[in-house]
Order: sequence, then C-alpha cells, then structure tokens
Amino acid sequence: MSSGRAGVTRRKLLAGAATGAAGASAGCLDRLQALLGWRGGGQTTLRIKTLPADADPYGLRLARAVGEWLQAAGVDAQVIPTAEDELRRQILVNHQFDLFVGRTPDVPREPDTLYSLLHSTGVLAPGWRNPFGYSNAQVDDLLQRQRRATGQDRRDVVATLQRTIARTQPFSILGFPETIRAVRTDRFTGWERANLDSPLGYLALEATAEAAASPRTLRIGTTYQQEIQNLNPLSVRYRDNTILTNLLYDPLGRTVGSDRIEPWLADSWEFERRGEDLRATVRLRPNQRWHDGEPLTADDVAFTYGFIADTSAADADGFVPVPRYHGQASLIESVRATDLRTVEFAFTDCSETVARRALTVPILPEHVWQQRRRPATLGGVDVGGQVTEALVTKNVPAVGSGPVEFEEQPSSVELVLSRFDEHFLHRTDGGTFPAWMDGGLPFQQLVVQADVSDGILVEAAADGTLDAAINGIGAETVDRIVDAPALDLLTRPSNSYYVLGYNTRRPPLHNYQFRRVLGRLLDREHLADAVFDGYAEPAASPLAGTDWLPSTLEWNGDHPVLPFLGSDGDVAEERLQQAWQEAGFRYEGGRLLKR
Amino acid sequence: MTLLELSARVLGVVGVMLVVASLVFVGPRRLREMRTNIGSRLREAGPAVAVLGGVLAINGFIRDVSTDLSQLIGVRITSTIHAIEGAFVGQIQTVASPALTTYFSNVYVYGYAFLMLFPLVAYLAIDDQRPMRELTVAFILNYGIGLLCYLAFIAYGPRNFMPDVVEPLLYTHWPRAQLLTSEINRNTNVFPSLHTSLSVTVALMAYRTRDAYPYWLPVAVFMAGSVAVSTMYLGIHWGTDVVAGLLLAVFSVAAAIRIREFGDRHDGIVRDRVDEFADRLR
Repeated sequence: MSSGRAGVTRRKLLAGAATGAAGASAGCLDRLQALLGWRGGGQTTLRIKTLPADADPYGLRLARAVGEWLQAAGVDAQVIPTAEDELRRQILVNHQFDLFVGRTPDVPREPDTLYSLLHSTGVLAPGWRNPFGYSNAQVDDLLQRQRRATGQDRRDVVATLQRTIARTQPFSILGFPETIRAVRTDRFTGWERANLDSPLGYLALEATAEAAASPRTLRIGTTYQQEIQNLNPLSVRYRDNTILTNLLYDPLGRTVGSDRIEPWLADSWEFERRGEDLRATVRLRPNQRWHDGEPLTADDVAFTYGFIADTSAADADGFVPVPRYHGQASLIESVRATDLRTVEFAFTDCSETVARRALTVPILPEHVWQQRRRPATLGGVDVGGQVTEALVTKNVPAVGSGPVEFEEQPSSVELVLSRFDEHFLHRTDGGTFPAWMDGGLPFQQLVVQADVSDGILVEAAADGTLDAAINGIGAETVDRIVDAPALDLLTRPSNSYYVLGYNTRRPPLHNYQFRRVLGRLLDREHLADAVFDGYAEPAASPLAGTDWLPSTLEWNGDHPVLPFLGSDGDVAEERLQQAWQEAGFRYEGGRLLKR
Repeated sequence: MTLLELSARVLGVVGVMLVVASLVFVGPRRLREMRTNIGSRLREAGPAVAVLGGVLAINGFIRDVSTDLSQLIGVRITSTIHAIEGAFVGQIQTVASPALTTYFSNVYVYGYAFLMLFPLVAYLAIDDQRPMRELTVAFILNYGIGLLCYLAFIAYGPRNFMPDVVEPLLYTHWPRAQLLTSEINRNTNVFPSLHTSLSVTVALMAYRTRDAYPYWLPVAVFMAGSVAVSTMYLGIHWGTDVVAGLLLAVFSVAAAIRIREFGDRHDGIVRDRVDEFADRLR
C-alpha cells in the first residue's frame, strides 16, 4: 500500500516536477522577454562630420561647439574631421552621416532656391538636392505653391514655408558668415563696389595707370584648390562655389542687384501666358561664339536644358539629371530652338518671376558636352554607378562663352584665364546693354592662384604677388590684413550659410521633436561671437536679410522659435531635462537613452 | 616668397649649420682625412645610402596616391587618440610665448633638417663605417614603417581636430612654412611622428658613437628632445604620435644594429656568391 502509494506519489511527483519545471521555465522566459522589451537601449550616439581646420576656417570650430552642447545634453557626440572629397562622397552622394557642419551653395537668397534644397523628391538624389533626406508633405506643397503664387499671396506662402522649416529643422542655421577679403589698390580699384561672388563684380573694377602700363593682369588668390582644378559647372561639390565657372560660362540671364534677373546672353525675352500655360520667347545676342571659335546658336541652348534634365545617352536606362540645376530644370516643360537665335520655352505651373530663374543655367556647347553622355568609368572600367562623364569630368580646358576664356593651367595650384575678345561685352556689335556693363573686363589676363592657407594668401597679397585674396579667409586672419599697410580689408555678407545638417533618414533624427531639441541646444549668438569673431549674422531662416523674412522669424538676440536652452553658451540642466521630456525622450543620469 | 625661395633659404641655413658643426664636432683633421678616404668609405656605405635615397624618392612619388588609398582603406583614429590623451597638447601650449614659438618653429624646420643631415657627414668622416650603415638602415626602417602606418591610419593632428584648444602656432608665426610642410606631408599623416622618430634615431646613434663624437651626444639629445616637443608645442602632433615615434626609433635602431651585424657576418658569403656567378657568366 505504502509502496503503491509511494509509487503513485513518486510518479505524480515526477510528473508534477516535470510540469512544474516546464511551467516555471515558461513563466520565467515570458517574464524575461517581457522585461527585455522594456530595457533601455543605451546612450544615444551621434557623429558630426566636417572639414579639418586646414580646409575651412570655421567648420571644425562650429562642429566642436555643437559637439560640446550635445555632450551636455546627454548625447555621446563625436566630431570627425574628414577630407573634402570624402565628405562629398559620404554626405552628398551616399548619405552616410548623422550630422554634418558645412556651407550651403552660394545661390541668391530667393525663395525658390529652397525647392531643390528641401523638396522630398530629392531624398535619393546626390548633391545639394535635399542631402538631409527631409520629407514633409506640407513643405512640398508650400514649395509648389510659392512657384505659382504672386504678390501678397506668394509672400504669405513663403512666410508659412519659412516658419514650417524653422519649426521642423531639417537643418539648423549656424550663421551667415561675411566673406573676408584682402585687396590692394595700386593696380586695380573699385573693389568696394564690386560683388566678387558674381562675375558682374569684375566688370566694376578699374585698372589704374600702373596696371594699364604693364600687361593688364589681375591676380587673385583662393584657398579652394578645387576651384582651380575642376572647371566643370555641373559637378557635385561639397563647397559649391562658382565664381570661376560663372566667368567662363554665360547663362541667358543673370541676377543683377539682389534678386532681379536680367537678360545677359539673351538680347531680350518675352513672356506670354495662355491660360495655365506660361511660355517665353528668348532672343539671343547676334554673332556669338564659343571660346573655340564655333558659333553659339539656339541649338546649344535647347541642348543645355535637355542635358541638365538628363545627361545620360538616349539608349541608357533611367535619367541622370544634374543635381545642381535641378531647381531650374524642374521649372521647364520643354525648350525648342525655332531658328539660330530664337528659343521657345514652355514652363511648368509657375509665375513669370519664378520662371526667370530657369534662365540662369550656364549655357553649354553641344559639340563638347554631347560626348560626355557615356557612363563615367574608372580607367576605362565601368564602375556601375548611376553617373555620367558629364558629372565627373574636370572639364579642363573649359570651352564656354563667358567674358574670360581658359588659357592654361600651369600647375594644380594655378589657373590662367584671359579676356575673351569675341564676347559681347568686348565687341561693338554685341547688341545693347546697360551702361554699367560698358567696357567689359578691365584686365587682359586673370591669374588665379590657390594657396594652402589664408595666412599665406594674405602675405602674398601684402607683398604684391596677388592683387586680391578673395576666398577662404577666416576671421583669425583679419588682424594680418589690417596690419598690412598695402592691404584693404573688405567684408561682404555671403549668401552661403553654415548649417548643422541632420540626416533625417536615421533615427532619432527622423523625429522633428528630436531635431527641435537639437536646434535649441545651439547658442547661435555665442557662435557668432566666439567662432566667427563677429563676422557672421545669426539667423532663423535661409531667407534672413531679405524682405521675404516674416516678422515672426526676425532675430531678436536669440532664435525666435527655438531659443537656446541656457545662456552664454552654457546649457541649463533643468531646462534641458524638461525639453527632452516634453519631446518624448528619456534623459537619465546625464545620458539621453536610445529608448 | 615662393616654395622655391623658401626651400633655398632652408638649404642655405642648414648648409651653414652643417659647415659650422662639421668644424666643431668633426674637426679639421678628420675632415682632411675624409677627403682622401671618401671614395672607399662611400663604396662601403653606398648601397645603404642608395636604398635610403630610393625609399625617399618612392615616398615622394607615391604620396598623393597613398593618401587617396589611405582614404579608402585607412582606419580613422583621431577620436581614439583624443580619447587617450584629451587636451594634453593644449596644456603644453599654455606656456606659449613669442620667444618659445620662434625657437620651436626654427627647431621644427631648420633644426630637424640639420639633425637629419649632420650625422651623414659625421659618420662619413670616421674610419669605422658601421655607424653610417646602421643609421641609414634605421632611417629606411623609420620611413618604411612610417609610410605603412600613414597608409593604415587616418589621423588629423590636434590643430586640425580641436582648433579651439590648440593653435597652429607654426603657421600663425610663420604662415609660409606651410608651403614647405604641405609639400612634404599631408595633414592626415600624423601617426606616428616621423619628426620625433628620426630625431630620436639620430640621438640614439649619437649615443652609440659617443666615443668618436663625445660632444655631439648632448647636442643631439637636446635637439632631438626639442624637435619632439616642438611637434606638440606647434600643434602638429599628438602626444601619442610622439610616443609612437619614440618607440619606432628604438625599434628601428635595434633592428638596424641586428641587420648590420647580420650583413657583416654574411658579407663575405654574398660577395663570394656574386663573384662565382660573375665567373660562370664569363
């Protein structure tokens, strides 16, 4: 009995033990799994990429300041200085980054320039076409609407657009720097009138008697070596600076003053609206030639517009557009040459004011660029990328139709251009143009020299090797300019601004709440003083400094929408904690957790 | 001033330093002897010196290519170095003064070039050509290993990583020095410091030859120390680079001695083989 009972008991016991073990283990696993789901994901990590101090006077300092503020906000932030070519590849082509500090392309501060910078259709495109991967239905809609609207309507749309951008922060503006230049006046004068960011600026210079006596050579210096080595107006550049290609190539129209676009290569144009359709008839100046002597005709113009929309060969799959001119290309429905001097444009749904912007594309010679439709190769080997020769060629020597032509490139740090005597500015039968263009360029030769640092540039200008140091000079070198008796210091607000770019494709940067807190971690006023030494304006909108800026985005000692979470460059712990919490993030023990 | 003029100036200054040092340390007697023996001595040291020249030429030739290659395959270690030593270089710069900046700038450019060249003269002026061969082999090892490190690691110096903490003192003091330095090296090649490793190599060799050149030893040690400090003081190198340079120097000299000894032991054999081979050809 007892044994039987014991046997039963033993069996029961064993069975019970087995079920119990299974049950207990199942319960434990469930619980473990349930708990694991709640486990925090460690600290949020962000990498900030930017140019080393050698290559850019401000980028790394800005990135370091941002990095410190991020650290203070509990983010494990690291600054990674990276060479220019590598940055172009990582940020503008492959989109391998969290954050970057860089400068936007130097384009006029005009609302439609935001189209290619922020429209969601550019998320996958290379270049400065939405490198942030930002997509916002409302912004897309506003970008579209500002193209159609006119007058007060457009103002309202553009104001809403700017406010939405400021609220959602696809990038944070770190400041509009002033371009610092050192010029000497013994050989050329008129510098203070001249906007040297535009080719028109060079027309405003005057040669002195001393320069007129010798061969009239204007010698300018820059620290941007790429400017000299790469003369391709279509290439994707990290620092998108276009002075030289703008001198070598002429567009149909140029921006005169702040935002008025006037005929340039075109003699005249006429816009005509038929219902929804906007058309323009553009008449070219008579007897124009390319630098190689070939005639410049309406066919070249039609070719150019077809080319920037798709640089690939007709039999290739897909399209390879030119990222830099996407904004302009997207305004155009069709372009047709009707005779040698006449081109007819049909535009997409847009106003005449916006349509004129499409006419600022540099016109390319068909006989040169037609051959660059083939896929880009490396030493003859197809590397399988979606890129054509047109986008990667260095285009040396450049054949354009601009007021200067390519003469020689004696080394990788020197470029010699000469006055193009066939240019309409330099001929008597070039058609009519306003008085300020009279006389054309005041020099026979333009020598551009690249130096490794701004200090060397300024010394070269001081001892007369250069007439002007025009690019890449940082605030730290201003004292050297002021101390040199032969040099004048020129400063001019730049249209290109420093941004902290967010890769909104990646969490947590895809969340605008997160970006807004980052936007509030930047003491832009402090940056203007400490990094730019006063040679920059803080701003809340890319259109700051224009009359497009709504009063609600005017700078008032701090960002009007995203005020700094602290004071004098120091983040206030309490306000920070509150900001993270309100944005829905977990900030514990000085660390911002991933989840 | 162009690069050419600057190079000429450096050559001129270093030339004067060499002449003075030769008179002081080598002395007129040994210099006179050298004139008579130079042929045989050059024959003995010649092969190693030729290889060194070849390494330098290749280095100069492939510099651009290797920088591009490094961008593709190199490991980015700037942040790691910074994590190791933080703002150490910034600490060094807190003692900066115009006089020190002038001193270290001159040491970095002229002093270093002199330190590299003088031992070649000094060791050519003694009968025993073993130090000469050891020095050249050590130089070759320094350059070769340094070049491989530059290929494998991408690192920016402190002035290019934390410009808010570290001033590029050489270039603020003497902007055009960058014409020369940017010609000789790229700003991503800082680990290890070849300025340090080559200078320390010279100092270690000075120790080995203290019997022949007793007064050169303290001068070489002082100058090598100055060069090592200057690379940090001027914001060009990290402390980590300097330590790595030091280790590279110790390794290179130790290895060079072994290689020279190995060469001495097998010199006869190689010569015999070559003669044999030549005989057979005849």
